[in-house]
Amino acid sequence: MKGQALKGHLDMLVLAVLAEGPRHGYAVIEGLRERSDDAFDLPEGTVYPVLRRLDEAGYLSGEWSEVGGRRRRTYRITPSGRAALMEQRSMWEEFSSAVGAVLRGVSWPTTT
Amino acid sequence: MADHDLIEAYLAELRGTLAWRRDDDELVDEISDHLHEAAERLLSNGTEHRAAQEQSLAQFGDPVVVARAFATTSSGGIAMPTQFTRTAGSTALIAAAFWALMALTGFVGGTELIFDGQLAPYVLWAVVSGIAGILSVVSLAGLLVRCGGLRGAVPAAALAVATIGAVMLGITTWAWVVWTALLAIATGLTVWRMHTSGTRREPGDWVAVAAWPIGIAVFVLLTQIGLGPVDYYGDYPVANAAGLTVGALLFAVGLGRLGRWLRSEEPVEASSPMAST
Repeated sequence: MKGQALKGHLDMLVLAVLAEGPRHGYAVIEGLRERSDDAFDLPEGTVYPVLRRLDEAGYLSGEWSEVGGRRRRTYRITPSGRAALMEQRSMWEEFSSAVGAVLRGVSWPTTT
Repeated sequence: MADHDLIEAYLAELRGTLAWRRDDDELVDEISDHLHEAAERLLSNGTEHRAAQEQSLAQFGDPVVVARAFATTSSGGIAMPTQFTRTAGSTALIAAAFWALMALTGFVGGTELIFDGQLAPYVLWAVVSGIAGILSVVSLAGLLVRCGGLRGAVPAAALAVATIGAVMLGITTWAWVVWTALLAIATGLTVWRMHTSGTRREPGDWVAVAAWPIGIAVFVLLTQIGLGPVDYYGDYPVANAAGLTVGALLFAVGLGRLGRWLRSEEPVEASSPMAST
C-alpha cells in the first residue's frame, strides 16, 4: 500500500504503534511494517514529520539519549495522545463499518 | 565519493533544505541515527557496505521530498498554501501591473522630459509608486508565509525593510534609487528563504531580486556617461527614466511570476494534527 493511501491515517497508526511502548523513529517504522505484514510501503522519511507534529501537539513526548555514539530520540505516547487514539479508532471503526455495509450490498462485476 | 560518505552527503543536503527550521540540528541527528541503524541492519544481513547505504537512503526518500514533508509541520509556522497565500498571489499580479504603471507614470512624472516641472504628474507617479510598494509588501508576506511563516529573523527583516522601502517610496518617490534598493534586499531575503526551505527552487525567481539592482545600474551608468540634457536639479532625466523603466518592468515580470505560482496553488487549510498527513 503506497503512502498516498495512508493519507489522513498515518497519525493514528503511529499513535497505535507507540501505544505499545516507547520507540525511536526507526522502531516506529519497523512496528508499522510488522503490524501491517509489510503492506505499508511508504518513504520512511515521511514518518518523521508525523512524529514531530504529534510531539508538538502534545500527543507524544520525545526524549534524547545516546546509543552507540549517536543521539537518539525516543517517543512516548502521552495521556492526551491515548485519548486522541481512542477517538480516532472509534471514528475509524464507525467509518469502516459503514463502508463495509455499503459494499456488502453491491454485487461485484463479473469478469469475462 | 567514498562509500562511507553516502549517508553524510545525504545528511548535508537535507541539512541545507531544513536550514530554515529552528530544530534543524535535532532533525538531522534523528535522521542520521535512523539511516545508520538501517544501514547497519542491512550489513548484518550480509548486504555489501555500499549497497546497504544506498538501500537505506532509497527507503528513506529523496531529501527534498522529506524536507517538503517537514515544511507542513509546525516550526514557528506551517509552510503550505492557504487562502492568504493565494490572495497574496493575486495581489502580486496587481502589484506587477502597478509597477508597469509606475514605469510609465515615472517617465512623465519623475522627469521633466515631457511635463516641465508640473506637480500633478509627479503626484500621480508618487501615488502609483506607493500603491505598487505596499502591494509588493503584501505579496512578499504571502511568499514568506508559504515557506514557513513570518516568525524568525529573516522574515522579520524582509518585511521591515520592504515596508520602509514601500512607504518611503510613496513619500519621497524622487529618491526611488534608495527605496527600490530596499525592496530588492527584502525580495532577495524572501527568495533566499524560499530556496533554503526547499519550498521552491526556480532560477527564474531571481529576476525579481535582480530587477532593481539592474535598473539602478542603468541609472548610474547613464548618469556617469552624461546622456541627454541636464534638468533643473542637475540630474540626467534620460538616465532617470531609463533606469526606472528597466527596474520597474523587470520587477513587474519577476513579481508577476511569483504571484502566478502563489495563485495557482490550492489552499490547504490548517487542521488538527490528527487530520493531516
